[in-house]
Amino acid sequence: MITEQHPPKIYYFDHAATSWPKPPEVIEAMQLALESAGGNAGRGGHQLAKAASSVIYDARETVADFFGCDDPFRVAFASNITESVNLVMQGLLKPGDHVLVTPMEHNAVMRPLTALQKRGVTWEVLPCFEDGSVDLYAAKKKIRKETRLMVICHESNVNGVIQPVRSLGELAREAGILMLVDTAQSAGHMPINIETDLIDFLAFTGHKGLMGPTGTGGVVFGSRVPIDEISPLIYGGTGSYSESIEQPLFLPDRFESGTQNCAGLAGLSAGIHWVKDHNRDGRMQATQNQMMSVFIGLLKQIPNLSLYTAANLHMQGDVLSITIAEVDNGLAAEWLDSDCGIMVRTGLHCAPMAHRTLGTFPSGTIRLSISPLTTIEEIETCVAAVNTFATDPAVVLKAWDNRV
Amino acid sequence: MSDPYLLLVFTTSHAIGIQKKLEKEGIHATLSTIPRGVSSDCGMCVRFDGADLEKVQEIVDHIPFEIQEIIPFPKQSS
Repeated sequence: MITEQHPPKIYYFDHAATSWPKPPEVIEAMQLALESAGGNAGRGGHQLAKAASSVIYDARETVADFFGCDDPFRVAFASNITESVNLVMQGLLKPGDHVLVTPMEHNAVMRPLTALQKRGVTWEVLPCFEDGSVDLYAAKKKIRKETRLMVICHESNVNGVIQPVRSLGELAREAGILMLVDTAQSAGHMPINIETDLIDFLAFTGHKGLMGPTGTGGVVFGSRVPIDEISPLIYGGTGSYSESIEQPLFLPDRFESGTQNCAGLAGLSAGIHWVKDHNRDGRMQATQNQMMSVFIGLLKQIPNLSLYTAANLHMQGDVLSITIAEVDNGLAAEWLDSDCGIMVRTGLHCAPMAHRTLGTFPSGTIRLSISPLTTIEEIETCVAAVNTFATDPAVVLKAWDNRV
Repeated sequence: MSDPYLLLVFTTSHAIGIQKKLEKEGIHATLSTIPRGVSSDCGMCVRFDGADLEKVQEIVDHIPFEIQEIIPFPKQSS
């Protein structure tokens, strides 16, 4: 059971894991859904079931509109982006197919791909530069006649490097292959349009940049995706075609078996509206880019610190990593949390391939990630604490050793 | 007001989508439980006034998914 706590002050730099705090509108929408739309969506026609169905339909429209898709039924909800990625990869790929991935992929992609390898699917990593960004010219040469899918981690969850999705989309279309984009870190932080960015499968999570709750996510299917060729990941009741024991073939029911997360999707919808409201004319994104620029500039001044970011600031998301010479990342994170109230994430971030690419495997990094709500004051506090650690780690480590 | 009609779809999501579309086009439509005698589906259908039948047909012809059928509302009382 969670008990209410009142810590002195939290400096939250783990938005890449999940955004916090959530906007009050998200919490209110979820509470309202539980109170007023408490039926089971798509099951039955009574008022509470209708209300639940409407909440989910509104969320579907909101997601479709946010990502530039003109058909809300091409949005299939899932419980998280890992499930979304699995849905696409396991549903689409057949023995003999070849897949290209960026060197910055998360295990959400690499583990299903490794499992598919045992079923006759082959894969290769796209050539890249030092920061993990794909070398477009060299990438073209990797495409084979068996290549079926290209998987792109839009923004790295380790160093924040953003991949040139549109250019990769052009490459995919020229070659007649499909492109899956993992927007776990990028959605909500930068404009993404499934049509103009030439994306075929847009996998998203609700609980990071979209400011919704955990347990939400899904796939938006682009207009040229052959839906009939994609097997469902999960089979079961949909509230439709109930006379048949066969799975319905149409969207979204083809991919949405079982009771949907009505309260969660109400929260996701409210989160997306919050992002849209706060990002009119791109102002939220501009502020966030500016914050990141300040953050990087300050960290660069710290001695004994290695910084892992995109080589080009224009291709930098709101995630970065650091290591401090001769200092254990775990101990540093523990001290930042317990003594300074600064919450970060250390280790390999479920992305061992990305860390190998950056040369930080197996010890990993300390990851710092910001949100639209992060302030300059919070960034300065974080930098000051990291500076203390980096300048005189012995003091901090001694404090650690003396702890009971 | 004419006799009501039911627009039957394959899933509740489609019912809501069509109902919203009809309302947007100025046609009053409501979500309704599917009579058991009509379908064994667990979900909903769209009910509208028969006077709007032609307009509804035209709209349905341009939506990006299939519907089951449009039928006169099966009255249960004589």
